[in-house]
Amino acid sequence: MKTLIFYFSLFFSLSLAAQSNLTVTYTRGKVYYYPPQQDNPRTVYPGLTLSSGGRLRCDQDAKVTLLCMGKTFEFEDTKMHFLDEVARTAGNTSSLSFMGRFWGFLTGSMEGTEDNKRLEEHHKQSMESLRAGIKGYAVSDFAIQTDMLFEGKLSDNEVAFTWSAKPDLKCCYRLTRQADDGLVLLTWTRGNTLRLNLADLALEDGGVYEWQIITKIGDPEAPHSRKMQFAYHPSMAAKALSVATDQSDYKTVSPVEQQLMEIFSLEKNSFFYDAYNRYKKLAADNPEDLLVKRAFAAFLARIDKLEEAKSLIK
Amino acid sequence: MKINWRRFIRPHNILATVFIFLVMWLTSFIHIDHHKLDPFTYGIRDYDVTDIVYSRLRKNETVLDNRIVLVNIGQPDRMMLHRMLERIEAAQPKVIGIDLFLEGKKDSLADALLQQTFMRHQNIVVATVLEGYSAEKDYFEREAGCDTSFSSYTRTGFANFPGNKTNTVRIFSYEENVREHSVYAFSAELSRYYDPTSIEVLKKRREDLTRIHYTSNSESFLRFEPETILDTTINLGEILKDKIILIGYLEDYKPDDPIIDRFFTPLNERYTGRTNPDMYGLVIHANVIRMLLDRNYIRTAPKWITFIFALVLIYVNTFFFFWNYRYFWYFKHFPKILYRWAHVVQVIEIALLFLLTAWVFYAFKITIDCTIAIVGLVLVFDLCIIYYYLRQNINFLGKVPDHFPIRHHKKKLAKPDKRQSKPRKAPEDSDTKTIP
Repeated sequence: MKTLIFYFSLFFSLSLAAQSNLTVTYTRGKVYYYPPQQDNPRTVYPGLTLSSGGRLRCDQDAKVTLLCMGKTFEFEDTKMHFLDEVARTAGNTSSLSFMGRFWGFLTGSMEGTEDNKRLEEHHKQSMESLRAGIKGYAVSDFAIQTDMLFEGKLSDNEVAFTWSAKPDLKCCYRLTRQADDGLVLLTWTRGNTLRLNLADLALEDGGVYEWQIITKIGDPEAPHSRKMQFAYHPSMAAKALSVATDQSDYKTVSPVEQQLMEIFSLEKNSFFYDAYNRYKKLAADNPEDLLVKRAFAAFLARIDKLEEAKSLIK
Repeated sequence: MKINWRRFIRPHNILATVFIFLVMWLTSFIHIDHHKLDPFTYGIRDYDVTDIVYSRLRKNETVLDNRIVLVNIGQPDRMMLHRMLERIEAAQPKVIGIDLFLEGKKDSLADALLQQTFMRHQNIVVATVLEGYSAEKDYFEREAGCDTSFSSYTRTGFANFPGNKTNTVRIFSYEENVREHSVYAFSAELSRYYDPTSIEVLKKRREDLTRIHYTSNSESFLRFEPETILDTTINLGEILKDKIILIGYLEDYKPDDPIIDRFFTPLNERYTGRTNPDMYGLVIHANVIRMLLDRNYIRTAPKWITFIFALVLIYVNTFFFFWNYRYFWYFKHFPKILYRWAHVVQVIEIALLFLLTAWVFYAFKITIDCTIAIVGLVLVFDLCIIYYYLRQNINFLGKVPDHFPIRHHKKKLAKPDKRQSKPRKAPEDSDTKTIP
């Protein structure tokens, strides 16, 4: 029976993994795709396959048509569009598809964390998928490195923005609106962490923001990080959680699996930071649980924290 | 259980059925000038039962075809076409189809460059148009639409669809005769180049006209604008290599835009009284190519099957009519009731017939021509009443028995039984009552 369930879930994981990509079928004018962890947008043209983790924006009078899971989506406005929302709309998540994807996700996590080699492969595949299938995934040409955790969507929880700077280096955290580059916050800090409660800032629900660490204002040669984009969605995190908790199977599974379902839903909705914190807490509460450990390791590999993932499965 | 066929197969029912078919055959010679009845007649004439399947019942899921790529030419400019062709050829596609008429000579430089492109690459098919059909000789007089300075160096295929621009494009002809030689259709020529076996399958079907199985709209194909093709920063080789490239008009149109190379198809959301052509000729060609490559044809029920179907249906209705008449004639207002009841049944039957045709097409991709059956159903009850009067007044019909007589085979017996040798009394005709 277990073997049957395994193959069933494997089938789902394989079929649904293939569906998560979006194909560009038509473009008119300039259309830009922003892969996660990439500063420079790529020009989009028909035939290109985009990862659902990225974003898309059209120039004035431009148009793009995307095909995802047999459904077409057209965009003509100049707004930034999150492709995971498009993929979710196309998938029209039902109870069956959610559970199918969840079991597929667990199976994939277990397979991808069997050993260091598998973990590296899982990491490589995830990074390539995030960058629209383009080979090579190293993005290290910035003096200050930032985490993928702070991309995607952020809720109104307190966020500890971190970056890779020397502890004694004075860093400037700059937060701007993506639409008009309007300044939201500019603050100097010593160290490599800044705790912010986003609810205290004048952020718009659904607005897209960019943050960057600089070390000298007005000097592009001074050490700096790349611009990180996130969408502020205080209400959507609760919705993402309710997708998991509303499943009929949710009540029948164990508390740990319930937690995993919630985290899975958060990750699929691009709430990486929230998912990371919940994984951390779940792993701390269940130090001997192999499923949790390996699911967490697979997640870390997917968000480009390979070393942390390796240390977890040792 | 033995079924007594005499209960169901009766002489008068057969004669009434023959009478109905005879009337239908005679009325088929009557020509009605339907233009006087336009636009109503037009809306009905341009309607096919299967349209509702295409328009409303087909799956909304879009499946991307990874063999065919559509390229919009925008404003037809030969220099632009030459530049686009060079960019596309560099990407090594399998074959390129140009759905544009390159008639006459225009800009000499552009013409020369385009001619050179055609001379260099043997995988280009240019659209032509067949003109001057002679019904007597069953051939077209000429293949026009492409200047000989181009057609001499490239493959050609006619882009005409049977029917005119006001009709819905449902069928295509893969091969036609132009005087003493035959030419392939644009889509057939492209398909033949891409997969030579595809056209052989079509030939084996031995159809003069093939019904187009529409599976896609323009969203099912990758579509390029001219500026994307000419953008040298894009590596077209990744996308266009070994593909079928169709170049033609493919503007991102709005309903009010001028109609250029757009046609009505069964995919039109309005399956009756269509107002706006819904598909570019280029996309129709892409649908035909897809059908040919996939061998995904629509089958048509043979005429003899549709005839037998109509015959059985009309016979059952005559049986129903006479059965009702035989058993219920003595009610006071029976003729009126029967007439109304019969017409209710008639409407229900016609509706069911439409549904059946649509369902058979949806489920099995088989089209059934129910014209005879539907016309027969419309006429059956009225003609049955006429037949009944004829039976009363024509001597020959009056003598026809109500049932087929029972035949007795002589048994070889040593001592023949006298009782058996007596001729059996023929059953009385119970249907000799006149209509009150």
